[in-house]
Amino acid sequence: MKAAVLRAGGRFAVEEVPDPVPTGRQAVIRVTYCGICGSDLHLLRAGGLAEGAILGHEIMGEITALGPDARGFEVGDRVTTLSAVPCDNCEKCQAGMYRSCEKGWQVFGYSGLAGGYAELLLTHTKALEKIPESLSDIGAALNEPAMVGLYAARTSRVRPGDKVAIIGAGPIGLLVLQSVLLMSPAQCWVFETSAGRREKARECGATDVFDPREFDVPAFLSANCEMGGPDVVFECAGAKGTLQKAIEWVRAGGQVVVPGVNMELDEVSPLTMVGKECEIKASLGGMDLFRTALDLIAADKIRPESMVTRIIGLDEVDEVCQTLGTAGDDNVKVLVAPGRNLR
Amino acid sequence: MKAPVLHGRRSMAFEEVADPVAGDSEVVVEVGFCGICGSDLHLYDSEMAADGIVLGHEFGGTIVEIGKRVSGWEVGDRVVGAPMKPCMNCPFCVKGEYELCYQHYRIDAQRAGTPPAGGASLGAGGYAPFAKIGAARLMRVPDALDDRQAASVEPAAVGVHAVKLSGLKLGDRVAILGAGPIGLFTLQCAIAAGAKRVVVAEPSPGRAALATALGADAVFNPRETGDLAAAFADRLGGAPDVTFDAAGVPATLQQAVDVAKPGGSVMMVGVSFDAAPIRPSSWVTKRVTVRASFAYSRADYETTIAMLERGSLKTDGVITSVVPGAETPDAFDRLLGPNSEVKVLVDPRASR
Repeated sequence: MKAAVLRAGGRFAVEEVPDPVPTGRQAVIRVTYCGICGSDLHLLRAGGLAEGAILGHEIMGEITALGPDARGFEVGDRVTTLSAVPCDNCEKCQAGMYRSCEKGWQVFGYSGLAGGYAELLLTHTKALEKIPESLSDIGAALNEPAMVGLYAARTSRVRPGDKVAIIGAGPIGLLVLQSVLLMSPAQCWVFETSAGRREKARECGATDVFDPREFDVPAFLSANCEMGGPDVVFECAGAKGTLQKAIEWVRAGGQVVVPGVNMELDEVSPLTMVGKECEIKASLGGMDLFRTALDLIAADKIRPESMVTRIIGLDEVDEVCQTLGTAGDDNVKVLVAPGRNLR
Repeated sequence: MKAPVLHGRRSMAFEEVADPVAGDSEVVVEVGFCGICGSDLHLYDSEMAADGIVLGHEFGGTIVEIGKRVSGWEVGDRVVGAPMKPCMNCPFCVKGEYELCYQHYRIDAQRAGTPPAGGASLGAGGYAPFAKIGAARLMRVPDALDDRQAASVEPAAVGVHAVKLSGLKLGDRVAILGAGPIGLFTLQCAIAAGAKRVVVAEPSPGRAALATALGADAVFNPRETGDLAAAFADRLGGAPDVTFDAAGVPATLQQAVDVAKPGGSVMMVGVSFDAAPIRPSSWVTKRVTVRASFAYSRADYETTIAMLERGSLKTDGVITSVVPGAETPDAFDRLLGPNSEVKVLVDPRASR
């Protein structure tokens, strides 16, 4: 099969690699779509990935082969996979206690496990969910980031009637926005520097959307929040300095939720935090919400399809990974369709 | 009267100031002892140090003068200045978040011209022989508490508030970074709240010994312990559910996240005036909740006094020396350098 393989200098090359073969309860799926995740880009740009890696963990496709012990799935099933799988080899996995896998669940693309920027993906039936008929391929591929956004909203203190601010309208910011809106805040403002992303935030239903560079945010927030600031601020930009901004904007006793991964070193002011007794809650996970997110997408309550601005073949992965999310790039979500443009 | 007056960064002089006169709704107390607070030291060492004010907010005293409109108090009553009752009118009270009531301390701290964390102003001026306190802030000191304990109510209440806010539950594993006064009171409150085991990181041998005496299961010197997280987890039988950062220096915030249990919580109790360097990615992969604790409420004061009376909070050993009022400036300079003190009290009566 063909795959976009990470090579020296953070560049990708389309190469021929051996087809995966499933054992035990594993499954192989033909990848229809794989989302390019901000975490992949953060790690790529931080130089934190090994040469030879095949990235991609936001995946949907069709089962092409099953291991001899796989149950509950058939070849041809449309499925989406969790971003991580159990090893299927340790004592716990052998005993069927996959949640307790001794190696811990490994994420596709990291730790040597091949991901979805490839025609075929080796995964595990314990990580699979069948996709409802009503759900589009693209919606299903973005179930993983939708789950991240859903988890952040659910782990937050947002309650109906609250005032909420979201910093950053990248894929995670937009999915947090969609999930938070399900919780009926009175207002949900979005702050984003890219015009294209601001437009998407508006489409998703943000109360109002602003470019924080051209706008006195603290003055706006204190004029519009009787408690002095929003009850909850989601920091989804994952950039240096934005966490401190979130702390400055949130109200006394408020909560800052951080689902974005900022790989850089950063600073926060303890004086600001202590002065308003705020809380910073780091949000990661949601494996238990995988099915829930799928149901919400199928019910059209969360609409990740709307974020997709471009679909590319494997041969375009290299170019897109250099520019996606950098200044001047208005793309929001880019999907890789490995079956496309193959020579 | 003579009092140590702040004049700017690292500048304080013991000089003549006017005796306070009680306003209509105030009382004047003769100060028993006043503790030197780490926040006062931070402020003294910063550009925020104002000119012409007398610091000192960890004090108790005896009422010597009563304003015209004050009722329910008499000359001779022993009191501390406490946060006011919730106002029931500010947006926070209306929402039921009484602990965040403006009137507790925030507005007063601003009015006093001091930064909120630099001197929560419960009637500042405790380093002087006499100080004014608004009648609405008074809280009675029971006979069972001596003057030194009365001066300890304020810092002890910081520990009470932090442990209450942390949501620490019976059986939790707890770690505390820093065994200064705040760390030591937090330690005692964590034990009183039902912590299964408590470990402490503290470089000063004197403070470490005190932490052990006050109930810590183990105290590690962070400068000599290669892997603090592993040492904590080993002694606790697992990584800490709740980690208190009570060191008041910028570096310990990230350290607190590093030792915390995945999904655990970190409480910031001490405050550093400088920005704290952090690795945000580690916060996310650890799924930590980092919460800042500021001061206390009136209810926390009541809890603190009850715990001091009951003996579940001890000041034994925490107070390491007492200096006369005239030596306050020297004591400030000494405490900013290397020292083995824990809590130093000023005795304004000794050099009136």
